[in-house]
Formats: sequence, C-alpha cells, structure tokens
Amino acid sequence: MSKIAIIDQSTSEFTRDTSLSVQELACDPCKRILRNCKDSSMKIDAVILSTTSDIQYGSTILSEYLGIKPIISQRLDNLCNSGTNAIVSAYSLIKSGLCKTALVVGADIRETKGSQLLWDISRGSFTLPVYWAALFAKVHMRRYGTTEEQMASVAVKNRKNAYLNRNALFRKKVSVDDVMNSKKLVEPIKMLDCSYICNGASAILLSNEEEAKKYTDRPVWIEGIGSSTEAASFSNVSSELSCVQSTKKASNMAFSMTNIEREQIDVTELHDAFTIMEILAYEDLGFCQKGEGGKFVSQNNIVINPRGGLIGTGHPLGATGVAQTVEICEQLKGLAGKRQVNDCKSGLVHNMSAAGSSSLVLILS
Amino acid sequence: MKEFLDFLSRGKFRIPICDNCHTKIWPPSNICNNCYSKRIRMSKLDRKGRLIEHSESFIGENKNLGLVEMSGIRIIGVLSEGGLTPGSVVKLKKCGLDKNNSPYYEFSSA
Ligand SMILES: [Zn+2]
Repeated sequence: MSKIAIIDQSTSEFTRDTSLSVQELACDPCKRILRNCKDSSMKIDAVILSTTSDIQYGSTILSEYLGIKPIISQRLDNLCNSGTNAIVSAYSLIKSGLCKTALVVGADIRETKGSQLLWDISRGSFTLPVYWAALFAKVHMRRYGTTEEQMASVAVKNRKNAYLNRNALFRKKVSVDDVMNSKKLVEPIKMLDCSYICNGASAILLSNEEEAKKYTDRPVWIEGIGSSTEAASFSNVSSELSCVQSTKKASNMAFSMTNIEREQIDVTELHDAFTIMEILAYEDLGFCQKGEGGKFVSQNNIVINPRGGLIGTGHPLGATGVAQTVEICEQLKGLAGKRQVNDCKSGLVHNMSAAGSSSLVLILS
Repeated sequence: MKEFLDFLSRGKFRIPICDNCHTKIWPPSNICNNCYSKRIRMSKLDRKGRLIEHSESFIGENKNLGLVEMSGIRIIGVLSEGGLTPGSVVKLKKCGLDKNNSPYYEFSSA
C-alpha cells in the first residue's frame, strides 16, 4: 500500500487581536505552499478546513479565496482536535485513491464558541474548561503527590520554548515563582497554568508517494494514527480522573500501526491545554509510568513541546492540531531554526478535545 | 433534553430512564443510548451520592465545587459547605436554572 506524506507545512503568527475573518486568516499559511504547488504544477485535489468557528461553506469560500478548484472541499469540527482529525480525513481521501493531494488548513478566531461547553449540562454552571482541569489536578496531587511546582515547571518550560518561536503568542519567559504567584482561578490552577484561546492559522499539504517525489526530496511520512472517542460530556469521560482514557487508547493504536517504539520518539507536540494535562499526557502516551508524570517534567530524553505547546504558542482551537503537526514536520526536516532538536528522526503529535473526551495521536518520521 | 430542563426549572431533578432496558440516559436525551428505544420515562433518582473530587473556584464569587456520582451518573455542582472530602456522602440539596437559563446543582453533606 502506498504511504502518505506531508510534503509542505506553514503556520502564521498567533495573535490576540485580529480584524480578519476565519477564512482570511486561513489564507495566510497557504500562500507559500500554493506558490510552490504552482512551480511544481501540482493540483490540489482536496481542501479541508478545520475550525470550530461556525462558518457555512467555509472550506469552499477558502478555496475560492485561494483560486483553487478542488475535487473535495469540506469543513471539519471536532473541537480542539479538529486539526488532527482533518489530517486523518485527508490521509483517508488520499489512501482511498480518490485524491492524490490534500490541503489541510486549521484556522480559528479568539471569539469562537468552542471556548465554553454550554451543551454539557452535566457540568452545571461550571462550563469553563479550567474547572475540569482543576479536578484532574486535584486527583493527581492526592493520589500521586504531584505538586503545584511541578505543574508550574511545565509552564516555565513551554514559555521558554515559545521564546524562540516567532509565531508564538507568548514570547516572554516566566519563572516557577511567576506561575505560582499568578492569579489563582480554580484551586490549584493559576492563570499561567492555562493555555490562552487566540487567533491563528496553520496549513499542511499531504500527498501520495508519487506526488511527494515530484514536490520534495524530504517528505515526512505518516507512520501511525490512533484515535479514540470516549464521550462528549465530562460526566462520561473516565471512571478515574487520574488518566485520560482516550489518550491511552489513541497512543496504543498509533504505536501498533508502526514499528517505531516509544523510546525512538525524539520530539513530541502534546496537548497542554493546562499544565496538568501535559503531566497526564506523559503518562497516558506511555512515556513514563502512571503517577510519575510530575517528575517527568525535568527529563531530557524526549523534547516535548519545542514550539511552546498550547501554553506558550496560544490555542486557536481549530488550528492547534495542524500547528502541532507543522512543528513536528519542521523538526523532522531540520527547518526549526533556533528550536531545532538534534538528530530528529521520529516525532509524535497528541491532540485532545473537551476534557480528554476524545484524543488523536499521529506518529511521523 | 427539553423535559429535563422543564423539570429542572421547577427545581425538580428527573432524568430519562429507558422503559425497555432501564438504562439511565445521562446527559439526558430523548432516545436510549443502549437499546435506542424511544420509550423513556422521566424518573426520580436517589439524591444521595459520593463526592469524587472537589475544588474551590475564585472566578467571580468564591465557590466550592465538586464532582459527584449519584445513582451512577456524574454531575459537577456547588458544595454548600466546606469540610467535605473525596468519598464523603452528599445529597443533591437544590437544583434549577439560573438567571442565564444554565443548569445549577447544589450538594450538601447527606
Ligand atoms: Zn434502552
């Protein structure tokens, strides 16, 4: 069976304010990719727009803005993991033979309705994501002795990484004390433990093997895909709040599809919506034992969230999964500049939605 | 869902239970998520439950909140008193719709 490649990638600067519409934002990272396509006479067979913003016919409007006439045009939403879901859909369209190439564009604006989960009535008036994050954190602290300082260290690391990322929203380093002294929101979560919903857009171009050879001598291969949908509501997420069940399942599924082992992963972009969620992801992705995530923050074997994660880069919901994938592609191609991880051969993307009710994992090489 | 909210607006907690297979449908909907029967009945539940985890919110006015498992379903609600710990037996003391028409649930020690 033919392999599927990511042959180009681009991301725009993530911002707090914009006067642009989602479709206008979405055009930005596509410009350079589409100029390259013109140079190599490559046709775009599919356009998939990942966004949580409610824009009817969004991908087709985007296609028209970009002057392309794809066979397939679709808008996709699955909240915060819309981006990687769009990549899986593009993968499937190419794998089926229906398309040879597919452009996946993630774009969102800060005001998206995806930021509060009003449909989940089991949460009562506690609709903001920070409430479930606090409950996950309290369970982890009580059961495994994870500390607020360990959580703060996640923010320190990701902000430090974002300092080297010119597209990141937060380019100011912070200390453990800064995080500990930032405004307390919901015990034990403080302002600097949280990612920030912002404006942003990212794009990747996928193709089959044949097209990949025409376009680049350094394609990134999609080696493994794992996904799991446990529920939509927080009340049905997991019997134990000490793990994210969907991440465990997605990770196992992705690794079972490839010969790449966890120990061979050099670089990872994982879904640090809150610092505690990075700690849980270390464990649920299988990088460390259950309960040891707090200590794992200080490890040096795998580079985690080199672009700054969601905490440092910002979190434009529908763009995040695509932006994470752009970073891993740039790392694998040696294009990450000051953030470049040495000798980078295999990478992982972990993208999650709504309290870990669904997760998606990609393994790339 | 509408029936659930109608009851809730009158301070009553009723959830749909399937007449065919007795599944508690939570969050509520008008179809059984086990056997897909539409023969469902809005039913009372035992209001006693177990506190799974709790926290304190400093967003707006300070509030204690907790995740409670009650007759097999889970809800996040306000804890009307301090001193409750995970495992504490609690009961649904009040429920309803607030001024924004959002559901609220309040638990106290049983
Ligand atoms: Zn039934």
